Amino acid sequence: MTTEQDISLIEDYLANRLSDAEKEAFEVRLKTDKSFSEAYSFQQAVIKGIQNARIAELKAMLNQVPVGSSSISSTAIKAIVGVSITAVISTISYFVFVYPNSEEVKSSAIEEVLVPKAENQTEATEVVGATENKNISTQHETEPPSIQQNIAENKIEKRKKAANNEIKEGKVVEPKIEIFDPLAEDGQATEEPMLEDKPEEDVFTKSNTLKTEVQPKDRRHSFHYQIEGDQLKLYGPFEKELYEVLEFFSNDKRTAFLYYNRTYYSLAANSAIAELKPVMDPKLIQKLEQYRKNQ
Amino acid sequence: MAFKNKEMSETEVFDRIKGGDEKALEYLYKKYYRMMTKLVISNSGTEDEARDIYQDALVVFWQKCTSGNLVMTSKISTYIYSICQNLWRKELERKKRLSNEEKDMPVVLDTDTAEREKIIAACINELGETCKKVLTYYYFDELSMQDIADKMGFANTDTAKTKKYKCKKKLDELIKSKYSELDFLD
Repeated sequence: MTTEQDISLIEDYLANRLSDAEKEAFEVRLKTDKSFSEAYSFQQAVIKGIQNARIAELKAMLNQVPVGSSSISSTAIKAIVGVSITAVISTISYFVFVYPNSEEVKSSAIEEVLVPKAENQTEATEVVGATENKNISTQHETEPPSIQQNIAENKIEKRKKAANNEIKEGKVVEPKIEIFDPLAEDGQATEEPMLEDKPEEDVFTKSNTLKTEVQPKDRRHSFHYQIEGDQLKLYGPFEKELYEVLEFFSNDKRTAFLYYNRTYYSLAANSAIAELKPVMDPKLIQKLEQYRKNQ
Repeated sequence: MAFKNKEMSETEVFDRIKGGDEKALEYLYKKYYRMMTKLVISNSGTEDEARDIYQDALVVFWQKCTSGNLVMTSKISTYIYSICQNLWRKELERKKRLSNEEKDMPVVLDTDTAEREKIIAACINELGETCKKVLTYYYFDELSMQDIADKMGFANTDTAKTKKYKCKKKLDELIKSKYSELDFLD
């Protein structure tokens, strides 16, 4: 049985209130008196429990205190909020002032999708073949022009002028639905049947809008090309042999090929410098050969 | 919340905490939160660890103040900052030691100690509010019997002593009634 004096002594020891001599005597007793040692362990655990309970209470109280995150300063938060608000206002302003006819754009886009395929093909043929279809033109002239349509029309008009085509200016062009893509050389191109079904003259028109520049002394690019707008750069020994650039237009898309050393190479309209890769599709090679002969 | 818009002087904060004013501790906590947690975060600590270290430092500061064992010779922030530094250094050493031990031997969880602490905490909560306060004042805040008597409104120190003795006895019996004394042997 633990006495009141023993408990008081243990408390004094734990609170460091004993003198050195008393402390030494206490520690000797701890080693020799088992019941005293048990009482000490118990009292130590209880006092520690009381202290821990208060620490937990204080920490729980502090956890309730609202404090800002230490990793993001209040200035940074203000800056982020400011930028976000500006971005939202700018986006809204852009659509309100730059695209006031956004509804028209949407409806126009929907109509474009709903236009029957046969009619579009007729239109496409009309553009490249320079024959007029008044019914379709009239239908589109009654519609309010959208900015997107105007931009598309301007691009086509520029290309038509440069190619000295006979297409009349101001004519509304139906957006492209199907475009001939000679780069689809895997033999499963969806445009392939269209080429076979239609006379080639209706699909293609040829012109020379690309201004070619040869870069023979580029260490990194030995047989490459780059198209930027109407500028074609050829990297490699093109000054040694004759080369020929073939351009075709289907609606507003230009497809270009390079004929060099009895081989055709696709010239995709990407702004990055790319390696010249030979055309492998026999059908396409045959058509390109035919064009060159008819030139 | 109190002190939300009011700046307190160093002396005022110190005196209030010394008198056991928890709101003054909250004020201090909020005021130096960024400064103290930055110390830990910029020394490979997480935000949770930083918060924990800062709270522990404030608890130490609180205990020193309330027990009357502290005479301020520097700014409060300087003092708390040095406690944070020491605590974080100890924590880093502990982590390093633990990491080395893990390499050599499997980790053994001290479930007995955790269970024991749970038992005691549950028993403390079963005590009445007066007993809880008296025991906390005596064993945690290390208040004198006179201070306990003053705070609790007891007639004199003898009343405070008797009350403390009875409360402690009650707690011991409560713990023993539920668990064998042998459970507390290491």
